[in-house]
Formats: sequence, structure tokens, C-alpha cells
Amino acid sequence: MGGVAAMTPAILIYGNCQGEELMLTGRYLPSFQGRVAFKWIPSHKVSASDWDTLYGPDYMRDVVTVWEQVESGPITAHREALHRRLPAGFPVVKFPPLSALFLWPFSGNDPRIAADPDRYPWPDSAAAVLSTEPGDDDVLFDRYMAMTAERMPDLTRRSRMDAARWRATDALADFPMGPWVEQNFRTTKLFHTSGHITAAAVGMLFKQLLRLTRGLNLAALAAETDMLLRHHQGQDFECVPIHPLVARSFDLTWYDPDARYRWHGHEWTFRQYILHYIRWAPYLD
Amino acid sequence: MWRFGVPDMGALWPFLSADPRAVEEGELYRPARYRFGDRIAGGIAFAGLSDALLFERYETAAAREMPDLDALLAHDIAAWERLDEQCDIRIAAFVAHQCRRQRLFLAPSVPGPALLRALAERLLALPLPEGDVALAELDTVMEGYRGPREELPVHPAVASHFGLAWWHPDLTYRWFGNRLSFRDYTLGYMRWAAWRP
Repeated sequence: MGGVAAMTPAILIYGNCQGEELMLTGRYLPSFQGRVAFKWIPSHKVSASDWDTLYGPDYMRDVVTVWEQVESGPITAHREALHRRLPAGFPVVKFPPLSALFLWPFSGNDPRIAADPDRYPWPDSAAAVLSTEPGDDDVLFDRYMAMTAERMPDLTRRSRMDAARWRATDALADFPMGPWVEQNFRTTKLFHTSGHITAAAVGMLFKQLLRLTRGLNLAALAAETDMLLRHHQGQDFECVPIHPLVARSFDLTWYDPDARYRWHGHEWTFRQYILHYIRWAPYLD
Repeated sequence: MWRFGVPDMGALWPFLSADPRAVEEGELYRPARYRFGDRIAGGIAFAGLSDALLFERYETAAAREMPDLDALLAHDIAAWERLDEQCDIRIAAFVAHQCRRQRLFLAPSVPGPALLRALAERLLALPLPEGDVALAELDTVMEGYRGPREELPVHPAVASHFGLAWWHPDLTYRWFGNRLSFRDYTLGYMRWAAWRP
């Protein structure tokens, strides 16, 4: 190597927390160990100074391919900073973000999040209304169920809005994910929250990216990916329970009314989650 | 100053032993891919065997080599009592009394929520400032708490022998980012399969 230390070629992922899932999947794939490294620039957290301090020429030196998560809307300064680091013709595979707002129709405002953004970061506007009301658990939960039944939006319309968002980001990417989500969300749980995905979605996304990355043995890597993720739960550290009326409306075959959903170190039912959320109750990691 | 100890348990995992494969693997697996060794699973050659045949061999060997579980529990109880002697918070009698009824241990050295709660109750009952307030909040804070995601599966014959109230045949275990059965965990261990946190 003429005195130059041998480098392990790296795939750089630019994207939100779904990018971290892809990075970890790549890092733990046996065939990649020692052969291909994975790096992740969190697009939702990166700061202007990070591009000079963390992601300078040394960081980019071993990068041979970029997996870039697209987003609709104007190109951001961070994305421009990434693009400036890539020579013309550099291999880039663009992939869409996955989201499902329609499964959580009460995502909205909760003023408590401004002061305490990390405790319950997936806002529920109906539960927020009840946060100042007195009452024991039964009273509060009954009120929540009555309020949400009364205020339930047109879920079909909500799902169409999400589908339109998927089409917009799919059009910017090198492969679509929207049709796959539409075909599978009823029979397979794909989302833990509106922006966090299960291992089924991680695996699908990862294999699509492998398929479009040059110089890989796709068949072997796809099989390894399935093995690695076969018992994995995906981004499950915060699982927001599905409202029973939403599950019924979309006929979600995987829905279990008695399911317990992970919330950090806990597993709660829908009722327990809603009551903890209304009370903004502390929990353990 | 009050001294307390966190007990370990061995009797639920009677085949615990060192496995030469259990070494640190860079940043991926620390201290090891599978840090709780299993002398039965580690001693079976797996190459070329189907899952069904491999697991059958494991079960045959496990049945043949199952040690005296009551003796192992007696050994654990003696260790908990020795730990008590060094502490102000006494927990051995509770653990001995409840270890069949409640899931006190997730893995040999990983206490479960019920054991953590028992320790917390005893510590908060000490004359501490605001101790009574904190004790009253335990119910809320610990509702649905599952503890660390490092649950070492228990062999069904062991669960059956001790009549573990919390165990059932379809139980799945949380293994970091994964959820899997005793069989799947054991097959993964035998094959030293990669897993993702």
C-alpha cells in the first residue's frame, strides 16, 4: 500500500434516526465485518460546525458510497454541505424516509413538550387536553376514549395524505417504498411510532439499498440480513400504542387489543400508556 | 451509610460455564457475543446440522446431564445468606421465599424488576429525607417496568422443576433489540450467530 495504511471502505448514511438503524444493521452483518464499514450523519441533529469538526476530509476519506435519505421541500444547508464533499459521479443511492402519521391521528400539539421535550416526544393532542383535568384513572381514560371517538378524523383521508407524502419522497429517491408500505401495513407491523420503524421495514429498506450498491453479493447479503433481523424489534425503544378505533378502521390484522408496548424500560397497554401520558408520569429507562 | 448487595442466581441456568468463544469482538460485542456460557450448547458440533437435529441433540444432552437443581438452589441460598451477613439491607429470605413466585432474575447477574423493587422498598424504608414520599411513588414509577433487556432464557425442564409461576411454554425473552424463544436463543448460541442490539 506504499506506506498508506489500508482503509476499510465505508458506506456513509445521511439520514434521520432510520439511518442509524441501517448503520447498525450493516455493522453487525457478518459478511461486512472487516470489509465494509458503516457511518451515519444524523441529518436531524447535525449542526453547521459539525461539518468542520466531525465530518471533514478525514471523515470522508474512506467513504466509497453514500446512502442519502431524501426529503421533500427545499434543499437544506446541511444537505448542500454533504453534496459539496462528494466529487462528481460519486456513487450515491437515494432512499426515502418512512413515516405513518395516519396511524396516530391525534398527533398534534401538547404544550408540555416545549418545556420537557424528551419525556413523551410523540404528542397526543386529545390526551394533552385532559392533562389538567382531575379524576382517577377510570374517569380520565373513559374521557379520553369518549373524546377521541368523537373527534376521530377521517382516517381514509389521513392515509391518502400520507400516501401523497410517500409519493413525493419516492419521486426523489432511487427506489420507492410507499407502495410496499401501502401493501403491507395491514398485515405486518411496520411502525412503532409515526417515524420509527420495525425490523420488517428496516430489513426491506436495507435490502433495497444493497441492491442498488455496486460491487456487492446481493443474494448472500440479503439472506444474512434476514437472519440478523429475524428476531429484531427495530426502533422499539418508544412504541406509541395504536388506538383501537384506528386498528379497526384499517383492519390491522396484527393488532392485539391486549398488546403491551415498550416504552423505554417498561411495557404498557394502550390504557396504561395513555394514563401515563396524560399525567406526564416519570418512567425508568 | 447503609450497605446492600444485589444477589446472583445460578440454579435457573444449570449449565452455566465459560465458553472459549466468548471473547470481546471490537466494538460489536462487549464483553462477548454471548456472555453467559452454556456447557451443553458449547459442546455440540453444529456444522451441517439442521436446526431441528441440532436442538434435538441439545435437548438429549441437557436431559442426560441435568444436575441436581435443588442442590444448586441450596447453593444459591447459602450465597444470598452470606451476602446478607455483609449488608445492612437483608434480602436473602425474601429471595429464597419468592424466587419461584416472582421473576427476580432476568439472567444470573441481572436482577429483575421484582428484586429491584424489593431492594428499593427496603432502602426507602430507612430513615431517609423524603423516603416515605419516594416509597409512595414506587407504584407509579415501576408500573410495567421490565428491567434491562438481557433476559437469559430458562430451560423448560428447569422452569418445570421449580414450578416457576411466571414461566409458560410460549414465553419469549428480550435479548437486547431482539425477542426470541428458548429454542431460538439456544440455536443462535450453538451456532454463535450474529445478533444486532
